[in-house]
Amino acid sequence: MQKNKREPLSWQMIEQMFPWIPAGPVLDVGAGAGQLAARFADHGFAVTALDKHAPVQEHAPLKWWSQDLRTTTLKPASWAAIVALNSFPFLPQADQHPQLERLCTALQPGGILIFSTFTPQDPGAQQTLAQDLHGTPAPTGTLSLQTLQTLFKDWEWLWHFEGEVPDDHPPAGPHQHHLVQVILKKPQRPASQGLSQALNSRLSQTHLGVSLGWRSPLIKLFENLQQLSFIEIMGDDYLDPMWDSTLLALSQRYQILLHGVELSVGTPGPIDTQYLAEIRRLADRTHCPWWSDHLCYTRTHRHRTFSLNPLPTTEEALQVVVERAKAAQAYVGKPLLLENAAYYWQNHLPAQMPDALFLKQIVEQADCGILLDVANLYGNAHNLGMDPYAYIDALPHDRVLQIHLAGGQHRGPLHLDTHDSSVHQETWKLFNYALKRCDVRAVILERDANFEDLTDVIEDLQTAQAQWGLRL
Amino acid sequence: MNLASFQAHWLDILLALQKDPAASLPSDAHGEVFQDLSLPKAKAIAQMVEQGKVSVLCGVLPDPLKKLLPATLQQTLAQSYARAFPESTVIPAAQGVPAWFRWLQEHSEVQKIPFATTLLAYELATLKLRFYQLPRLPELTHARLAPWAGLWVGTPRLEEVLSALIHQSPLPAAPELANAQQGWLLYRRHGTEIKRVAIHWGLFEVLSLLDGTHSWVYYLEQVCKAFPELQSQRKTLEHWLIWIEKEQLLSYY
Repeated sequence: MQKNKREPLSWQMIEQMFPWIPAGPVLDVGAGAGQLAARFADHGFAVTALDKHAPVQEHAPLKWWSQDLRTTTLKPASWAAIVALNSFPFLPQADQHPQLERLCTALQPGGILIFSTFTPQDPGAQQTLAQDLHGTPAPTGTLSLQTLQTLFKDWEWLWHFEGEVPDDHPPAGPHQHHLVQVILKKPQRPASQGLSQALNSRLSQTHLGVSLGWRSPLIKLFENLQQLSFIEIMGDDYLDPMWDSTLLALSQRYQILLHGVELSVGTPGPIDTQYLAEIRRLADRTHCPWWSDHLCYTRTHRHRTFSLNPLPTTEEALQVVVERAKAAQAYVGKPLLLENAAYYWQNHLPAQMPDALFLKQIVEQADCGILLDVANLYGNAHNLGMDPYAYIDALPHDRVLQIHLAGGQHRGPLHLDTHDSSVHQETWKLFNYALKRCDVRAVILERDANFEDLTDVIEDLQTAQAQWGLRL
Repeated sequence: MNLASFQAHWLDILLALQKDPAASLPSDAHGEVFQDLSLPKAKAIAQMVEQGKVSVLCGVLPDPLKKLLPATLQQTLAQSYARAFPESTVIPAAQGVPAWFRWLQEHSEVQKIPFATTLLAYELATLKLRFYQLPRLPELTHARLAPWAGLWVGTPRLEEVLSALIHQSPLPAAPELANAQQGWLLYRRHGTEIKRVAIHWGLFEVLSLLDGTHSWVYYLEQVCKAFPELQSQRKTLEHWLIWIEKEQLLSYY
């Protein structure tokens, strides 16, 4: 049996992993003419190309630094990815480790290092391709795979190669190099364990205001609403990495909040870590301050539905949700906000607690936040006679970080949460009541159907913005 | 009644009503736990869920299909599908769309519309192509078509059909093309972009044989032996295979 062929690094291999590079600037060390840097830029990354001999004609999407790596200031933890392809042979041996360590320090936690250089077996190793800072020739710098394995023993090794790679450029013509090539991920910072920790840090400064849920039929409306600085996207629509470039473009225009429908936090059993890994990737990409899903179940071990089914407020359900919410939050590494559900009928299971107390206990025990859907409160009051004001009063107000607004439909005896009409007057009163009591950071108006006439969407947005303004 | 039983019981009711809106509540749904759940309420909930699902199913149709299938037919078909398969996944789209498209392909109303089943087959072929992935170490001895490349057989006038639908110009006459078939090499590059190359049947044969156990040189040899009429085109086929390799459309995993 023939041995598996090991392929050297290719540009395509680098491009294929773009969705897993966290959001942030990319540094190309020894960028040459900037071809690879341009591919990063085409995908949507902000790229700085570093080369002693930067082209006279600079490409628009790239920022060029025409200088030597050794004299370049690199701020710690500031780059999402650093690419250094065969630029290190031009550094003397004494500079190899210090400069590599500088690159490591400059990468942000979770950042990606894409590195290729000559090994001691490379024919060029016998030459003097390197230069010191004064331009004096020095023996070519080399590194072996073993050295890199020692230096990066704590990093995640995504890929590596050591061996012959053909090359062809003047004046040498066709020739072989012996290279070591690696793609490595810097260890992440310990994930934030919950809302309390987040509130004590960056999140305490986050007050985003009022905006609209991002839906493709609303794109033209967004073009006319230039003042909106943040949006909420349905994370489930962006799980496929093929949407990464779109997501990156959106995240450069807006602060993004992630919202989902597929967590099914109320289903007993183990959490879906594959799904959470995708959410974590989206959270890394968008730098969202939190992510949200519904306090509901969408499936059981033998059913899968399209509906967000409310949970009975039993002790058993509470324990299930607390355990799963804790696990989900820790896995994604960002605070999770749980959204109160819409009720259409009242189950009569014994020993249930009031639904506000149920939510309060969940978020306090799991250290989560609340996404308060005031339209659901209105619907629940209509459908089940619940007191929405008492519900708001009973919540831990410091954990209510976000509000959802939407319109619904009256159908027979029920008010349905259809997100297809203007916000009801009673919902506005609840919104105002919640705004005055809770430490709300963001308000999102949701519209999922009836896109033909959007006049009421604009009016609702203005009303919400006016109420938000009065609160400040 | 524990949490799992409660959830299963409610979803049984909901899914039954989605499958058959004329259904009544099961007799055991009248127990104490479910006493507040009247049939009109349960039906209203099921109908709301169905409407949401119909909206998503219509929304995931690619633009050419949206233009080819009348809007009312899209709605009707989506409703039929939602009722036939109330547990079918629609979110995330990548998991739910293939089954929806396959169902559309088999529907008689769709089969009557020229090019509709062809376009659905084309979309299904493109859905399998995955460009973005973390670097992987080789698993095979020899290369085969990469996960971002695939083969498809369909109308030779695919480009013309897609262009006509996008620009809303008249479609090519369908009957004269009914039996014409062309092999295509499809591949995904960045984001949503799909590239298409119409390929010679001999090349199609070779590419469809690549399984990672032998090189394409070996399979080209085998195909030329099996079809002696290809001998005269062997060099051309070889150049195509070199091009495919150079375009990184082959991989070792």
